[in-house]
Amino acid sequence: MKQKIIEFRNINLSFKSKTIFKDFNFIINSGEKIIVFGKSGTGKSTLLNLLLGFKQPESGEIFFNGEKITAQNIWDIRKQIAYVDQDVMMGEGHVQKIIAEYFSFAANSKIKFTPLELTELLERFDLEPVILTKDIGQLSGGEKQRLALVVALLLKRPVMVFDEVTSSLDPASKTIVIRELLKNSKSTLLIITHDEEWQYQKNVRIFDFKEKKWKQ
Amino acid sequence: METIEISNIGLLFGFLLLIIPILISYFLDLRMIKPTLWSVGRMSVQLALVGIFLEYIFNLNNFWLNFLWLMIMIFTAVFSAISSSKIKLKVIFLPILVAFTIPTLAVLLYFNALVIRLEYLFEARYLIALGGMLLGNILSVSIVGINSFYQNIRSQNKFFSYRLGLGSTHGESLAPFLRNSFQLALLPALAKTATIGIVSLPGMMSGQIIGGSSPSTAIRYQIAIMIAIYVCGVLSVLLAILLSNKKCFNSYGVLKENIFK
Repeated sequence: MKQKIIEFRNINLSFKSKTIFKDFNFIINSGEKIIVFGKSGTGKSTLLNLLLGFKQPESGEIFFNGEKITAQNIWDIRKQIAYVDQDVMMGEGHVQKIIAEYFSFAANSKIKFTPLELTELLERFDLEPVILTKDIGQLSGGEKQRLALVVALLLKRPVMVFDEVTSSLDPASKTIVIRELLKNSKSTLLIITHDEEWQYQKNVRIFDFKEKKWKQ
Repeated sequence: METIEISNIGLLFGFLLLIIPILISYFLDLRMIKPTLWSVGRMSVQLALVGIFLEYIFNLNNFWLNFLWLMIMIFTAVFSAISSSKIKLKVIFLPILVAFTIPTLAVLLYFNALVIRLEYLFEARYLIALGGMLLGNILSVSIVGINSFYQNIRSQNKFFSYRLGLGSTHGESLAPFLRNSFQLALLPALAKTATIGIVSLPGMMSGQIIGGSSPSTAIRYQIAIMIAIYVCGVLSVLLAILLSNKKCFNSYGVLKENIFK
């Protein structure tokens, strides 16, 4: 039995007189791997911003696990979603300290991971464990992006949403990242991208953002 | 030891010094004669008026009058602060008013009661002179603090959203921005504090020494007032940010865009 985890119901939203959503409906079931595909500048990221409560629709409702998202429950809903944005900004300073800070949040402080787990995960994303001792400013854009993905996976959250996380990667790391992200069979995955490569993966459902239609 | 009065002739000689910058400006065509005369003139008139007024206030030494004058000073500082702020008046007026009034009054009363140990806490000379020093500092630090706090959250919106998205509480989402704006507002003054005595003799200390106090008295005052200024600054930055917080974020924890001028 499929269980709905995310539902957008009759969403209307425009931005600077440009309509982004008109009576938009969108359902994701638990455990699905969803690719929302579309050109940049079409407002795909708004999907994420609505889900995480960074923006509110003009009309319509968004449900998470059957619960309507409100200003009250959004704080708890965010704790169930791991999120990485395009050109992620994780802060300044020492990489290990930055990671430690996110795991010191009240929501995350119970999550335990071993140093081995961390280094293994870094290696799976083609990152040298030595970056933990570096200042984050020394990392390239692609390295920062992959580091943020590692943190997202360590959070072990039921839903993961990633916005254009492969666009700044070279072809080799892109293949690695896509493979690693799709490996995780339990989590629901929502990928927002204009990267063609995601379209050729197995066991994914693809949503055409321009047409607002499911492709497969 | 009595302070020697500056006579009218003496003051005239003081003004005569201005011939130097005026001549330099004239011969080098610096176009600074008018601004020089305007600024010095304005300062002289203002100080003359305040002088008459303060003499009057000091002689009366009436509680309500002293308090009223202090409040006028605070209000002037508040409006000056708000006009140089990047955030809308209706959002920050009340927070800034409280952030200026409470720390000034609290630190001032503590200072008069426990540091100087005045018998009459509202003694005009101390209340107004020390109040002015505290306010002057609050004015600069709280504006740097509150402006940088909200502007950094706006300009580093990706970082702020990332924190929210990772399940931070409202407080957790603000932590690095709070740290940053406190440091921006207060570290320069702290660095200056560390060089006092060697690089600079502060105005108050020089004034006291010329006024006939012993260096030891002047130094004790200086140490105590530097600490009071710092504490007052920290409190005012904290209050300005904490009290404006509710109006500047929506209930989803996102910074409102319409708070900026």
